[in-house]
Amino acid sequence: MSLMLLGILNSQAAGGGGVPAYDLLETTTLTSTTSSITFSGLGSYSDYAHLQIRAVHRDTRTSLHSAIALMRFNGESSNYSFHRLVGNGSSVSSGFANYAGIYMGLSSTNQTVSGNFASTTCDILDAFSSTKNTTVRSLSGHSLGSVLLLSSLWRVTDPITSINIFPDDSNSWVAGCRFSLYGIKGA
Amino acid sequence: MPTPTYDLLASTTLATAASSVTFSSIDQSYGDLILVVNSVSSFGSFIKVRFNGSSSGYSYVRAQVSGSSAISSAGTYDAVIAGFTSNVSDAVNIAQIMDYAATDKHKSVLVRANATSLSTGMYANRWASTAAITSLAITDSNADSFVSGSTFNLYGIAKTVV
Repeated sequence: MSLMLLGILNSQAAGGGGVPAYDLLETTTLTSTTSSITFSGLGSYSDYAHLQIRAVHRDTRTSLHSAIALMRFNGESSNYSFHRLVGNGSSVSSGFANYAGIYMGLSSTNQTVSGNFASTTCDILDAFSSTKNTTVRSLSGHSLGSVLLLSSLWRVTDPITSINIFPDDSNSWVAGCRFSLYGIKGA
Repeated sequence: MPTPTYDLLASTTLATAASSVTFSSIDQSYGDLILVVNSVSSFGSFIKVRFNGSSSGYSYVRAQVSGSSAISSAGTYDAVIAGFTSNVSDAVNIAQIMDYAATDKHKSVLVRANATSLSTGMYANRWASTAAITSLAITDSNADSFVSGSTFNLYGIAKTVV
């Protein structure tokens, strides 16, 4: 969350005279293994300026300790780019790529100890604009893997109507994963 | 139905120097907690946060930059590392404590750590316990006191639509 946004929200929380600006919209908590989750019908939230996803997740992969949580807007699988900054416990690296979705975050997997879930906070800015490409920022990771900071772009000016989140390794989310969607009001 | 959230649960502004700040009897009805610490204590140590009085079961991976140097490390510790400390007023640290009341998973804590004169960085922490977090205690890893004026704010983020 940006310091500017945090300042706004702190002001709200402290009873600074503003109007409530941060709302929980939907939560999906998995009760069984699931290949993907989707927030749909998001046009009904177009009175919000920004969206935030807060997620706690773990992938069924058993071959590696981490996996990528991929995110797609409006069912599209192209026109995504990202820059990443990652610390894996021994070195820091960075990179850029065009990809088939947005890297929402880094997930833990079933290769790691039971109970180890990764976390992600992901901001989708001006999600309902029809004049701007969509920009996304996220922070994620788990202590048995890496910590990952991402700046991503969907090079399309369409308002977001749906968000699909799935493991990029074609595995599934385990029971207990939680994905919550929040709306942040603008003017 | 949209549910307004991001509620201030507790706030402490130190009137005099103190070696620790504790938030206890934390409301269990939220999904996540956000801890914002803007403090002055010692230069170059860490903000430590212990849950439920426990000093074991914590691990982390971090990445941080100091000037032109970038490093990453991982390990175990006796607390969550919730940011950097500084002896001047340039440190603000934000910790996302996820699913803190869940009893089916370990607790994960994402941190964006900032002390301009020192470093900027990020941490993924874990507390290997399925106990719900009911209290948290904040200290300086160098055992120095936080000076007067340091602020500690705890927010609750709902995960259940009402």
